[in-house]
Order: sequence, then C-alpha cells, then structure tokens
Amino acid sequence: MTSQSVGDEVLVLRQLAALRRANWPLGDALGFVLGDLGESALKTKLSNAQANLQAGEHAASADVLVATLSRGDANSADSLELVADARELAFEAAQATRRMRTVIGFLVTLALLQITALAFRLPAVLAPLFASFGQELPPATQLALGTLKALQVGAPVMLVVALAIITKTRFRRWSGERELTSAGLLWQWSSALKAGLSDAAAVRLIDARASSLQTSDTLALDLNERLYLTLASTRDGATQAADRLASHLLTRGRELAQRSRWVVALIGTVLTVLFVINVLGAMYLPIFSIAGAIK
Amino acid sequence: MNTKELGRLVAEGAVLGERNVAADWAELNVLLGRPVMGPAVTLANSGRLEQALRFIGTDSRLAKAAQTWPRVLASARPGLDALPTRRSLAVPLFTVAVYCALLSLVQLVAATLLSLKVVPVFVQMSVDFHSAQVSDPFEALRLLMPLQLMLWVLVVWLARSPRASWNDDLALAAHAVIGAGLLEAKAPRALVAGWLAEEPRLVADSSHVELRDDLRAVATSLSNRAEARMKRFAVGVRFAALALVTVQGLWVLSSIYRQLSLFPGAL
Repeated sequence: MTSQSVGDEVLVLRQLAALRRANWPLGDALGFVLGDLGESALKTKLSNAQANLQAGEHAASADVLVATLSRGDANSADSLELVADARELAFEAAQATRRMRTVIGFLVTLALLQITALAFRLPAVLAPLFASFGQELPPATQLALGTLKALQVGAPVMLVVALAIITKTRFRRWSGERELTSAGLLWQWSSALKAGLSDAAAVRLIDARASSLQTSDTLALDLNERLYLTLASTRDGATQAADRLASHLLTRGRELAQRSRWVVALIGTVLTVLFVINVLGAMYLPIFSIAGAIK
Repeated sequence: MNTKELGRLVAEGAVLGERNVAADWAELNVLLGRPVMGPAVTLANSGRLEQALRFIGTDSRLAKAAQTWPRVLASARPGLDALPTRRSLAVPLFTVAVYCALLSLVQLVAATLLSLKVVPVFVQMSVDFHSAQVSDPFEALRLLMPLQLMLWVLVVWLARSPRASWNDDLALAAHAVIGAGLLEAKAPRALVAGWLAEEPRLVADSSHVELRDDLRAVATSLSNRAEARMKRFAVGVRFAALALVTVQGLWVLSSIYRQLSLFPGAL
C-alpha cells in the first residue's frame, strides 16, 4: 500500500469515529464519507462494507477494513480510532523495515563489491612481484593468493546470495512491524467478539486459516505471548486479555520502531564518516607527496 | 515478550480480578516450567509488593503507589508508557557522539601520520632555511579533544540529572499520571490526596470532580514541554559538538598548509 492510500484510509476511519461519537449510525456515516470520496480502491472497499451492512451481514472478508466496518454499529468510536492507529503504526513499521533493508542491502553490496575488486586487483599486482623472487612462496602466501582467486568467482555469487537473503528477510524483529501489526489484529479480534461474533468467526476475520489466536501465523505471537493469552483468557476473559496484550504490543512496537530509526541513522552516520575519511584522505595525500618531494 | 513483561501483565490481570498477585505469578512459574518469578513471589507473599514489582521492572513510582492501591497498576501503566523517556534524548545524542568520535579518531590518525612523515621534513627545512617556527598538527587536538571530552561528560551528566528541566517535567508528569490512575482505579480520596500532597508543585484539590481529566491534561502538557526541551537541548549539543569537531579538523589542516606556504621555494 502507498502512504497516500494508508493516509486516506486512516483519515476515513477517524472521520467515521468522529461521526460515531456524535451518535451517527455507521451506515449513515459511511454514506456521508462515501459522498466525498473520488473513485479509488478505498471507495470500493467502503462501498462493499456498506453493501454488507445494508444486507445485514456480518460477513467475513479478506480485507480487514471491510470486515471491521461490516460489523456496523458494533463499532464504537474508540474501536475505530484504535483500528486507525493500528493501521497507521503498522504502515510506519513496514516502512521502517523497508528502510532497514535498503540500508543494509546497500552496505553489503558495497562491501562485497570492494572484496571483488580486491580479489581481482591484488593477485594481478602481487603475483608478478612474488614471481620475481624466484623461490617457492610460503604456504600462507599461497593460501592467501588461492583464496583471492577463489573469491573472484565466489564474491559475485556471495553478493547475489546476500541480496536474495536481504530481500526475503523482513527484519520484523528489529523494526517493530510484527508487534504493531499484531496489536492491530488483536484489537480487531477483540472488537469483533464485543460485537457478538463467535470466537471462531472472529479469528477467521484476522486469519482465515487459523483455528485459534494462539495458532495464527498472521498474528505470529511468541511463546510468552501465547502463554499469557492462554492464562489470562481463562482468568480475566478473552477480550480483556487480548486488549491488554495489544496495548503491551503497541508500546513495545513503538519502542522498536524508534530504535530501528536510530539504527538506520547510525548506519547513515557511519557511511557519512567513511565518506568524510575519503575526502580527508584525498586532502592529506598531496601533503605526503609534497613532503616526499622536499629534499 | 520477555518473562518480566509477562509477569507485569499477569500482575495487572490479577489486581483487576482482585486475585492474589503472588498466586498468579506462582501459576506462571508452573506454566513456564521454571521459577522465573521466584524472588517476586517470595517478596509479594511477605507483603512487599513494591519490591516485587520493582524486581520485575515496574516503574518505581508506580510500584510505590501499587503497594497501597494495587489496582493502579492497570490504570496508570498505559499513561506511563505513553510518556516520553530520556531515550528520545539518548538516540540523537548517541548518533552525534559516534559521528564526532569517528571524525576525531580520523583526525588523530592523520595528525600522527603527519607528525611522523611530514613534520620531520619541516624541521629539516627550518634548519636549512633558518626559519623560525614549525607547526605542530597535534596543537589543535591537544586543546580541542579534552574540550570535546568535557562537553560529552557534561552532556551525559546534564541529560541524567534529576534537576534538568525535562527530567523534572517528566517526573511531575509521571506523578500526575499515577494520580489520575489512582482516581480511575477508585482509590479512596484520602489516598489520592496523600499522593498528590507528595508533590507540592502539583497544586490540586482532591475533591475536584474533574480531577482525573485535569491531571491527565497536566501530564500531557508537561510531557510535551519535556519533549520540546529535550529536542532543544539535543539541537544545541549537536551544534556545539559539530562546531568543535569542524574547527579541530580545519585547524589541523590549516596548520600544515600554512607551514607549506612558508616554503615557497622548497620544491
């Protein structure tokens, strides 16, 4: 999703929350908001939700927004605000993930390109020099030269493999994306239960293939989170447990998102310093040449 | 989620459900299959809930309030979590510190190389030409590197000092949030009045009907002010640190180039 489409979606959810707070039925509020929207994917989604509402269906939908709005007046203003917050934060976290992937990909590419260049350049310079000694080279030197020659083929392959791994890795653990997305999904699930849906139907809203929250791959809870949900659901009730876990995940996700921005800034700083070192080196080198020329 | 965070969430559920916190933690130990909450269970069982909560990483002020009114744990935590922390100051400052440290290191290496390779030639030149002075590339570093170090020590001390204006604001905001949490958790008025009286700068009448919302509003404005003050401080430090490191670099370079310009006929 683009930042504009997420921004539009969040704006609409907040508008709907404001109208619900003024005691508008969700069907009327949807009609009002739809009137202001131009043709877009968002308008199609909202129209689908409105059609579901008019048909009186609490239909499950592959789209979380449609599924949420289809619950009609069961959506309180607060729950709509929460869904808006969750979507906004999850999008920010996904962007943080993308930023991290780009920076790390750039660094790995740079490092492996340098290794490739050295692998080609060093043997070409050193081999004739060593040959002029006229003696067999020590085993360590032979090993180093052999490794460099192997890297002539190996480094480009490593570059391709590293880039493939970086593209596939989601860096969710570092960027807070997992926590923020899970927090939003837990709120969705909890508000569906409060709206009168059965546990199984509410789970299907957020993950069509899962039989319970604990086994949902979309939610991707870790061992302690699953344990908490199991323990707290039996003692305090499922919705209260989910709300509390969602609130915790939101705080943790925000912390991680902030930390990931910091890591990216730090990597950027190191890159800038490397650039400055190059510039400084370029400025100092002539001094050494000049000093060498003074006799 | 680590086990201490798990313990905090379980404690919140227990106090809301009016159950014994230690019993819930003990059950958690059984589920986890190892006594991770062992010391906390012992402390809570001996009536020292404050210490038990602090053991699992709860904010010390919240733990203190929870000792007398445990339900405040659940009502105050979201507000406390939302407050900015010193971490928002640490992040930009650490980045600038790394930047300055790396640049200073580069300058140190460059100055060492210059003094090993270039200055001896200049010394020889000054003997040949009977010229007066030979510049020292370490001159700038000797003066400015201790100054940079002092600046960073001062910054760290100031950032952590409880008397720094932002830390003062954050402490007040946390006090107000916990006060609002106590009201939301339906603590007795006398308890709330006692809590608010601990912070004389929070002038509040505990019988005021909108007190909870007022305290939340005060906490929000204090946290906003703390955030703004932290940002202003970070900008000031960034400017001073970058200015120092730039002056240092230019000084090292200029001392060498100035020396070179004294020997126009040397090449």
